[in-house]
Amino acid sequence: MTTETENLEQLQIINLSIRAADKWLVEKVSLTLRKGRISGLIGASGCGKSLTCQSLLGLVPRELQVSGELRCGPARVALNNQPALCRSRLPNAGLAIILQNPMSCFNPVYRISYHFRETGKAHGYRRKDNCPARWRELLTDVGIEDPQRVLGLFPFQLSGGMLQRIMIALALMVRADYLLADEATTDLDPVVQAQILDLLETIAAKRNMGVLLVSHDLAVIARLASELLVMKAGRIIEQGTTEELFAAPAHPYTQALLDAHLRLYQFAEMG
Amino acid sequence: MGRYILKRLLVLPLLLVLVSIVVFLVLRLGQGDPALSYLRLSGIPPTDSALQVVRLELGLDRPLPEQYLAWLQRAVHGDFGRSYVTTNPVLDDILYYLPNTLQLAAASLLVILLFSLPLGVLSALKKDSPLDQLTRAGSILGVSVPNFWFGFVLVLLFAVGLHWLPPMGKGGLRHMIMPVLTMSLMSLAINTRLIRANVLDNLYSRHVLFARARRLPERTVIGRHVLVNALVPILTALGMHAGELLGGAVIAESIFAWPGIGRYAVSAIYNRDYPVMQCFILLMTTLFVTLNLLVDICNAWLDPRIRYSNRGQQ
Amino acid sequence: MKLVWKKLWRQKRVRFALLAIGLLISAALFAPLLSPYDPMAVSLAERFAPAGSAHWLGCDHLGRDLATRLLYGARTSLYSVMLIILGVLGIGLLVGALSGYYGGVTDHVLMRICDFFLTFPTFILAMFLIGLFGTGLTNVIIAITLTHWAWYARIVRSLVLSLRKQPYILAAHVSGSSNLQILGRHILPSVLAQLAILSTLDIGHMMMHVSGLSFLGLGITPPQPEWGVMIADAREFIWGHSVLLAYPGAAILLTVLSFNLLGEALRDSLDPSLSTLDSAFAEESASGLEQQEEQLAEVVNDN
Repeated sequence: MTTETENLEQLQIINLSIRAADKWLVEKVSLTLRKGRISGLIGASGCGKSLTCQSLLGLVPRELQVSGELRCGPARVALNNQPALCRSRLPNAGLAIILQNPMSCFNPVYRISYHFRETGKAHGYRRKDNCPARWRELLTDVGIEDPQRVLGLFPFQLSGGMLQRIMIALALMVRADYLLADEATTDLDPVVQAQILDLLETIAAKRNMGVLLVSHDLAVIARLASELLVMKAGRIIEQGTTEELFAAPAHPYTQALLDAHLRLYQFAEMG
Repeated sequence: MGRYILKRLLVLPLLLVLVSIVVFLVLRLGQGDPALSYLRLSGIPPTDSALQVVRLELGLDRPLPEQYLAWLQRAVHGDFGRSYVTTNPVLDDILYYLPNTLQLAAASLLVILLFSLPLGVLSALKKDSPLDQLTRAGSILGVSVPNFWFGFVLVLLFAVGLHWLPPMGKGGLRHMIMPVLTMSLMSLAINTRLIRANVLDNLYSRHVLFARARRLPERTVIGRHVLVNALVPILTALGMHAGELLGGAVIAESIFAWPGIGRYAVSAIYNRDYPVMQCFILLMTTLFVTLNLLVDICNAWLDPRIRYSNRGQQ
Repeated sequence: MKLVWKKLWRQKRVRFALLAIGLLISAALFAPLLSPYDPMAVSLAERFAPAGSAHWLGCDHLGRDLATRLLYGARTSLYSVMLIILGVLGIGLLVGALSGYYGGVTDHVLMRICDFFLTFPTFILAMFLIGLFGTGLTNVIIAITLTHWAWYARIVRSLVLSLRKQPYILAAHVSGSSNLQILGRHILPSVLAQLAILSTLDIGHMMMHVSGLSFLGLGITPPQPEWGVMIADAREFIWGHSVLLAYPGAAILLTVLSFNLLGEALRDSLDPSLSTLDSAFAEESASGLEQQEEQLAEVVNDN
């Protein structure tokens, strides 16, 4: 039994399914995100993790069929693959996503400042709030030291780590309650990866944001997530708190994942 | 940006000088004895003494570099020699015909842009719709129709059959319709396909995915993130196809007896009228290169990557 | 390879194109067997003879059998395009491979030469070269080869450059293969596959250049049977005998269309990056993830 206020603090995804012409890519996935908590979604490449994330924002290609529902408190929204319909947001459950390979996610033709301006405009910022001073603030929040300079640069003049921070700043700008981090640290070198993970942790705590950390890398997820979902071939095959899963993985696939993880680490220690 | 344009503008005359040297040398070495052809076309019997006189007159006794410089000096002042056939100054003849060709070319460019942009963009946005399928089928057919035949099909249809349009010659706007269609069909088809492919490329690109993820309105996504980014390769290709358009002009002018520079050049080539050939290729190349320079400048303005990579090289 | 072939054959456009090209090639090869007439024999008694059992498509303004001229025209077109493609591929491969593989000064010099050729609009340059060399089949072939090779050289160069950085080429270097071996065994095959697609797409384009020049009187000259020449011959009779125009034009259209369809089908099936649905999934399998998955698969198999 949950009370109504508790309900407003969480976003439920119910029975999300995505179908291509001849097969299920994601099948009956249900998961719950809680504000201020970090959940992990792990699975091998091609298991449907990215599609799951993208479907929550209506970003799935037209060729695919999407079904399922989002719930937050009493509000409900059906999922589909039309961004326009998904735009009618749930109150108390704004979603933002940060993607893998940040280098390719910004439009090389425009400066960083333009990315902020159009995002602000699309999210109902009034003109006086949608200004460089506000953007600088956001950039400082994500740990960028010279925001003024960064705003004037083009994406290709920045590193992957910097761009990933900027993506997070853009997510803050849309006042998201939940952040989907889709392989957000995959292409970054280990030091930067650690910095970004720290940043996500800080933001989740400070802004009471729910984070879904999606990765194929157990090391990344184990570090932050308090609960863990294991995905294989489009299905959630196991879920529980991180400690539980690490202590007693029930599904053979989870066991294999853990074994591989531990072996890699042993190997690293030996070497 | 300014520096980029300046640099490109400085390269242009160098390139053209190089082209002119090669064209000059190739003609001098390849055409046999210019004195002989000069006499032949002037109707003077080529006796030894006459050849001697003409050689002196044309400066053919001096070393090649000197001949080139002399020729260049005259060319810069607009003197490309006289046509062997019409005996008019070459530049006068060419400047007389050029506006007619440019008129056709400009109209064709307009037609190409006017039709290929909306068709390409719409068929990409409505991928696999009936409109898209029709556009795709039409464009592959358009690429395969020989323009020197298509012109006659138009004549048969609109002049011989329906009597709607004059079959040939230059006159009002109605005279332009068929030549322009003949010239633009191929580039129109190529361009439509290209625009479609580029729009699709961008539509499925990651920066558009992220733009949608930021919930930008679809209008902004398409306008600012798909179309603007698709424009650079499209402009580049358009510049490249300008050559094809100039070739098409030659053919359209021949079919429709349009008094343009292409028809003039064909008869010059037929008669081996070297001064005209020389001036023609230099002029066409200059046009082509200048157009591509303009395209490059547009692209540098549109796409900062081009500007910055250039700055890095310096 | 077999799979690709099956995938191709399943498409209607491929079957259509191959059928048309097959017919064309046999027409070109067996023209003397298929027709009893001489394509150049003038017989004024049969001027504009209508289509009938003696002359299937009728005769032209000089009483020459139209069907026969079309058959021999196929021969001219295919012969010239084949030589042009061979020339362009030969020069392009040589220059591009040298340039891409050796780099440095070689690359610089060769590419500046390419740039120079690319400065000119192709059709105009071909016209100019014809003006220099004179008209005729051989000169047309030379002119068009000269105006097109530089594109191929550039493409080959960039292919070689990108291939040279591939891990398996680097591995071959490390394991002690010579430059020549690597070029021949690893780089050439994949470059050739790409060139096959490109040149198929280009055949139609070149054929049109040959016929276009011939139409202008700057290419293959009458009385040689050539489709562009036939159109030029027929243009005077557009008011009275427009069928004379229809056949050669249709022949060019069909031929060019077939090669274009085939080239496109080849490109689509050998270059999967063009299929949009695939790119939507690309991020699932993007860089680096495969390795991890392989590792996982191994572990899972072990258990």
